[in-house]
Amino acid sequence: MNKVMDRRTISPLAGEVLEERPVCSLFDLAELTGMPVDVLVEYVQVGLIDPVSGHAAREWRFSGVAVARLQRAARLRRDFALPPEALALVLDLLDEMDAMRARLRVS
Amino acid sequence: MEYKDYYKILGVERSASQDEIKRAFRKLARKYHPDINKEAGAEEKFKEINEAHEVLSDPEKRKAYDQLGANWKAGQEFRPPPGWEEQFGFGAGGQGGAGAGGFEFHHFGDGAGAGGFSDFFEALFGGLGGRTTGAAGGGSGFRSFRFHTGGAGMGRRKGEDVHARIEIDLADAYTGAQRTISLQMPMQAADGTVQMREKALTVRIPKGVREGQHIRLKGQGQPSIGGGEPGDLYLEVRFRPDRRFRVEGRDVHVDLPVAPWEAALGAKVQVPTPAGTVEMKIPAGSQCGRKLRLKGKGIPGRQPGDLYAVLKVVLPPADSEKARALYEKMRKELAFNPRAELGVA
Repeated sequence: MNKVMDRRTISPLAGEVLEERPVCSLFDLAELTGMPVDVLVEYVQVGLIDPVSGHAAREWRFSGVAVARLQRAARLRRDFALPPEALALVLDLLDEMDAMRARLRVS
Repeated sequence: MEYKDYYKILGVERSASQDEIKRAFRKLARKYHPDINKEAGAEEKFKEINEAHEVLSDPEKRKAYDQLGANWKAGQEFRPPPGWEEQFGFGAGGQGGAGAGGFEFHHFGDGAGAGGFSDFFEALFGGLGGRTTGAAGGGSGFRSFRFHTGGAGMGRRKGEDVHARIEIDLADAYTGAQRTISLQMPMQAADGTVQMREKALTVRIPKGVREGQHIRLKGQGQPSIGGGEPGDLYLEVRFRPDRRFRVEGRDVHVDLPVAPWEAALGAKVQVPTPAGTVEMKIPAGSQCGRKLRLKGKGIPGRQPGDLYAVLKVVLPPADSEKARALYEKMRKELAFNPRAELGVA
């Protein structure tokens, strides 16, 4: 209803490919996803996301793949109220399903 | 606009309890959730389910919806009853705060836009979000989802991130491209009201992008209310199905028809790639199904993918005297049993 058209088009926007962006720290990850640090730490502990390097939490580095995975996790958590372990399992199964579907398409 | 039967969409009785509604929603969501079901129709279906749940799970909205009466049929031409806005305090004021927010998915084809809720929903509840909360995309809290970070973020919260899908051609991933998309986005007008506006964006599709990856456009999400940074826009990349090419990760597969003599004797043939035609040598003695790799001819990037040509031997039809004679000659002169491996003649 009454959706006002706003056609101010700006010159082409160049984005970054999330999955290819440089690694980031735990705090950058919190900033990017809007998730609190303690939730992220819990997600690392259950293996929902894995740092690409670092032992202590302050040394952890994450790739953009973790961001995409966390966003998918947030949607699934919101819509199905899943606890972290179940979320991690569902994400793994969905990844596997995606890979199998892609393979099915090419064979 | 068309009347929507939210009870029918969720498959519940009009007398259903809140628990029954929640249960019905969860069950349908498991099937049609866009993170689970990647088929195109699923997304539309999920939007409907989501909208029905949005209304029926909120006692205030449900009560208002129920007031419309039980005699409406899905798809019937509908206008909000007179006095609707005064009675319920939401309504078609054009102040829709609930909108293309949070994690709702849009699907973009070529320059085509997609909205959030249906016109029916907007007509009935469009004004709700802008009035009850001050948050961008407000309204439900269902679709506008963001953990509160607390501390420094309070009062100056970042705007909501917006998630959408964008469909591109495989060739776009080879060369890079530009796409114009439009989004329904709540924007704050000068008088402080929140209005749904269509925002058109021209986006660069970076060369080398792959299916399932996300293009992040910083600051192109929803504006923040209260002077914080705007949210980001994430576009999940999908490839439009292609008649010729199939993609797995970085690698691209193409079926390549060859004549029996090309496969048997070897040949130089042309192979189509999403970036143009290339020449390829078929080694002598190739069989149907053989995969020939063209290194680096897949999706470009730091580690470019490969292109696989899968040989499909195609027989010339025996539809002329000459063709039949040639097949006859082969039959007589070649001692060939194609079923030798099966142990039969």
